[in-house]
Amino acid sequence: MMTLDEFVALSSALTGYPASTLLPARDTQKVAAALYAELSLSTNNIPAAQLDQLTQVWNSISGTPPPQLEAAVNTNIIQNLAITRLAQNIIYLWYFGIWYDLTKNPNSFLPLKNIDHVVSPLAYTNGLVWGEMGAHPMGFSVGEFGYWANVPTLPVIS
Amino acid sequence: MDSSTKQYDVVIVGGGWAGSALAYKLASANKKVLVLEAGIAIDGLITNPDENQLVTGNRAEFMNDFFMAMAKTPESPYVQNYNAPRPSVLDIQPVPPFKLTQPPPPDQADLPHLPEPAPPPAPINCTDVKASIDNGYFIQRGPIPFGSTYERRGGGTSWHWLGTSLRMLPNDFKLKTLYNQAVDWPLTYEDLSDYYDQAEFEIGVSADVNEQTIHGITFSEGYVYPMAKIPPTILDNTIQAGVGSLTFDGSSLNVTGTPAGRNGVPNQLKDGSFYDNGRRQCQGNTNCTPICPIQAKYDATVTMGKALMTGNVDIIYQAVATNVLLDKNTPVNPEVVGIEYKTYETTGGPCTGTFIATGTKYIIAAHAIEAAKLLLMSNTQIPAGVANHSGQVGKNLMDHPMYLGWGLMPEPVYPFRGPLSTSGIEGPRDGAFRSTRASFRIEIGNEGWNWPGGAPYAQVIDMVSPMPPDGSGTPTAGIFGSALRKAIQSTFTRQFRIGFLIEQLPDDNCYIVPSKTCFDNLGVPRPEIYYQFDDYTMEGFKAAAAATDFIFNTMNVENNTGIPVGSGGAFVYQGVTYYPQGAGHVMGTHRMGFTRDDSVTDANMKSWEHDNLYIVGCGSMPTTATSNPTLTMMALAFKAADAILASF
Repeated sequence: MMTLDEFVALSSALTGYPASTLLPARDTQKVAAALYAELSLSTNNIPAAQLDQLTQVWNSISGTPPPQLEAAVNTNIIQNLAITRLAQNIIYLWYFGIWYDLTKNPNSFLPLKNIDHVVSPLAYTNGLVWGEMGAHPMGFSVGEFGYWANVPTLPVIS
Repeated sequence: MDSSTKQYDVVIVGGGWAGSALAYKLASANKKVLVLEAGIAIDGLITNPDENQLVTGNRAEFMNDFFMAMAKTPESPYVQNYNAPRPSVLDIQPVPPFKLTQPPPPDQADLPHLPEPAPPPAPINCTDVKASIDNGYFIQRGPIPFGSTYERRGGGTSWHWLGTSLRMLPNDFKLKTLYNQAVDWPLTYEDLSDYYDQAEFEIGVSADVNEQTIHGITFSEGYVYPMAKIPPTILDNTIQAGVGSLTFDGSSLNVTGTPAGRNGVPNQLKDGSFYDNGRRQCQGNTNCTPICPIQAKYDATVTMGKALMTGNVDIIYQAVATNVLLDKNTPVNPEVVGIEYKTYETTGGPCTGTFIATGTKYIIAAHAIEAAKLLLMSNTQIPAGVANHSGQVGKNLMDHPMYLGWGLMPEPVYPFRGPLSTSGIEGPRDGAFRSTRASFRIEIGNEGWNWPGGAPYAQVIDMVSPMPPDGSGTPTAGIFGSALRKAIQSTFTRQFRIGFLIEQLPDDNCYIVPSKTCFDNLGVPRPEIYYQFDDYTMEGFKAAAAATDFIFNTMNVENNTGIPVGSGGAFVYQGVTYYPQGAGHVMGTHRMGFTRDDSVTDANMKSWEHDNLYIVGCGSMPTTATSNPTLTMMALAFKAADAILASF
């Protein structure tokens, strides 16, 4: 089983966001914990061997120096078809707050009855995709009246 | 309180937009009003202390359901109610291509208002009522599925209206006279002008008078909108800079602010006071549809709240009108003597009673489809149904079928910020071309490809889990980390879409009837819908596609227009396939007109046959024009209220 610390470190490599952003020291939103809990949710039907393999592979490369880390993740996880789909789901957890059924194309919304689900309202409103484009989650703005007339500042990609 | 035995001045069926406006205006003139609302309560707005009524529906709960919804559809915040069901996007699925030349189905041959010939019934299994409604409330007969939805609850569809509050153009009222198309309205722009003022005040519309003075629209001396126009987005300004000075097919492409029923900066009104409706300024949640989280956008619960504050209004929720009862002692043109309604305690539970509400005057304000359904269901005394001498009840079902164009701007325009739409292109709403093709307005969308393309989800998934070209359907390796972040920044910031609201003419082949085979959980017939487009509208689609190409080519847009996600219907016109979208603008099913033979009501929305019956809503509109119809509907409701008050 993957630990929370392993999950956050792997998530950082997969999302491109610092671990301190994903799991802040003063964690008011508890998003990391909620997303991590998805890995042990039985109804998600995650093959145990796949999760173990992803954990082992990550631990074998997690010490890679930062300049080479993305290349190592690409070679060992993203291009590894045995575990890439699970890794992709971790990206979706952070960018959307959504868990997609591992057995189907996540872009296929049919059949309507499947286990795709939003993790929680906070997981949705903390989704990374919105801030990445200089916006806010639809239905969750913290802007002032008229903010939309001004050019936003996009987050810096390290 | 036993409302069923209390005598009211006016009984209103429907606690949505028109019903709330009528209740408020009539109650303000000291009339005793009863409102029957089929759906569940508006949070905090209850007069009938019936402990069996579900008290649900506060905005925070709706927001929670919206956040948790996988498909963030217009319906996603609002729970389905099997005792007063409403359509959803699930209703908009392809319909088998019926031929309109076959004989009418046996189960409907006895309905006198059906056009000849009618399509055959499709095998739809409604035996399991709830499962059947879960697959869609409408019985879609096509050939094109009707693409618009509505809500049945206190406040009605105003919960998820966009907020657009455009006036109709003076020429829109004279389509027959000016362009030899369809029919004229039995009233003019000048007849409605004061009522537009009233509606704009009640809603709290933000707009600029100078900018709205187009196509012959006039305002009274010194008129100002309640609030200043909502600031345009970066996208609005980009399109204005790109094509605002150009024309398409003789129509100006100038971009103007769209009058909006959302709070901005208050104006000083004619009387010197500053407008104040007590609600917050728009925070740009980009979520007007399906729900404004902070009620900066007006909805009808505001006006119903004021109506209840008069002390003259009772409202009964979970009261589904099923029969408009006529005076049996008057064989010709009987008056209405009561509204029969059924009650229930839970959204899936059984009927708990049948009652009759009585008053002096009656108003059906139950949404274009539900109102027509109720009138046609009320056929115990007159087989054709109530108010249906003309045979026009349920006919002329119309929408603003929409054409969507979408692409990537060369430079960032930063979508997903601000209200869903702040500006539009209004030039193509009128012109000599209306003698041969539909007019349209162009709505500029601030939500990227959210509507047509399922953004941001679908495109991020394409980046992270791309499908291999071999068609295996198994996702392969994609991008992640910093490359993913860069890709999101460089593409999503350039996404945009435009939507064309296309005029549709009244047509006997577009109609709604109560199903004889499919019922809701109370045993009330579900709406069976027949729908198609004529050449006039399809020519409008062709022009919309050409206008999209013109605008996109001029602005060096990467054109990604294709099949919108979740499209249910398609049609082929001159070899080109189009994918129309519903606008949610359901009109025409109880139209007003000049004579009792070709319309359901007069210009005051009074039934031609039943002297104490009024039928009010978007269904009253004889033609669609191109303006989002809500503001005009509210103006019509205020006009009807004046006529009703004068009739006492």
